[in-house]
Amino acid sequence: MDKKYKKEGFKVPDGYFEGLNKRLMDRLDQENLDLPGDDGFAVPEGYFDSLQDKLSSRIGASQENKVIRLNPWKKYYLVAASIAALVVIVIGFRLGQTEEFTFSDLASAELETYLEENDLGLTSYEIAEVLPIEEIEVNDILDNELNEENIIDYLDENVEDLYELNIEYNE
Amino acid sequence: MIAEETLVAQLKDKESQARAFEVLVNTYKERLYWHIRRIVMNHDDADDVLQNTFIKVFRNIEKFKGDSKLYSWMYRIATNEALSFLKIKSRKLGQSSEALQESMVNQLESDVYFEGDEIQLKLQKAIASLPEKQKLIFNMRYFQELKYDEISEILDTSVGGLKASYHLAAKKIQSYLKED
Repeated sequence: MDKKYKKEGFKVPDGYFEGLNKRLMDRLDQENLDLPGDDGFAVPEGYFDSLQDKLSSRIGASQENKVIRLNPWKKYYLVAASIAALVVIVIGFRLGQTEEFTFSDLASAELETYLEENDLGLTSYEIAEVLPIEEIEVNDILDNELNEENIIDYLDENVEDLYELNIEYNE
Repeated sequence: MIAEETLVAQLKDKESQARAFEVLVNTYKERLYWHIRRIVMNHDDADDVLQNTFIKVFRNIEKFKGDSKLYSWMYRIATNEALSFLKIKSRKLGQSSEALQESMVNQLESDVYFEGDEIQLKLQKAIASLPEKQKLIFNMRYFQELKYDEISEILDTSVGGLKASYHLAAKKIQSYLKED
């Protein structure tokens, strides 16, 4: 045992500290709760029997509903029309003003308002699937820069149980 | 019961996938439903989320590499779907997630698909007051009786951390129930 912990002649049984972790975990396992075993939730009669049909029709509908174009050339007309419109707009723009208008001129507040107000129909799980995580820094998604002081304040106020953080001490 | 690897292989094969999907739904529908229901509380919302979960599993089965069990992978999708559902709901209602939890549990009293008595209602209120992760862990361990190893794979948390969180959650619930 480490010398600094030897105090006033107290001793502990051999192997006490080695087995402490396991004993604590076993005690947590055995704890009996005096709570109702049932939570009271119910389901409509026959719900589980009808689920399969509902799912099959949803999957079938999305696979069968492929769009058949009535006029296959229509998309080329649309592309040509779009290009023509773009040329007219660009020329008109250049005649009207000398400076170029770029994407960065859009106020980020306007973009944020658009994203906030319009439900894009994506869950955060879906967004997370397409976001290039490697290219994102934590500070890209925060209004205030994250520094050590903020983190400590946050942990002080919000974390009830430091166990949950699973911090491994290196000391 | 059909072996998991066989089922996954059949789900990935266009010829057998419809039949395999039926087996998958029949095997897991009740377990996943109750997991989702305890998060969203209301039957109609649980039905929506459950259907979305199975559709997502069906569409993404190609991406399932077998690094975890199929069961854990589906549970993870169900958990993410249910939590995202609540986030969207609270945003649409302009409520904080705590306020949404409170209104969800208050609506249980008039919910025709909640047959709990006063104690069970109070238990739901106590669970609703827990932080999100503790709530998930408590429901999975206490009501669904999942093993710590299984919860650990689903929530990607160490068994020790899970036991500590469960213990804390149980203590909080017990003291909540003792309050008048």
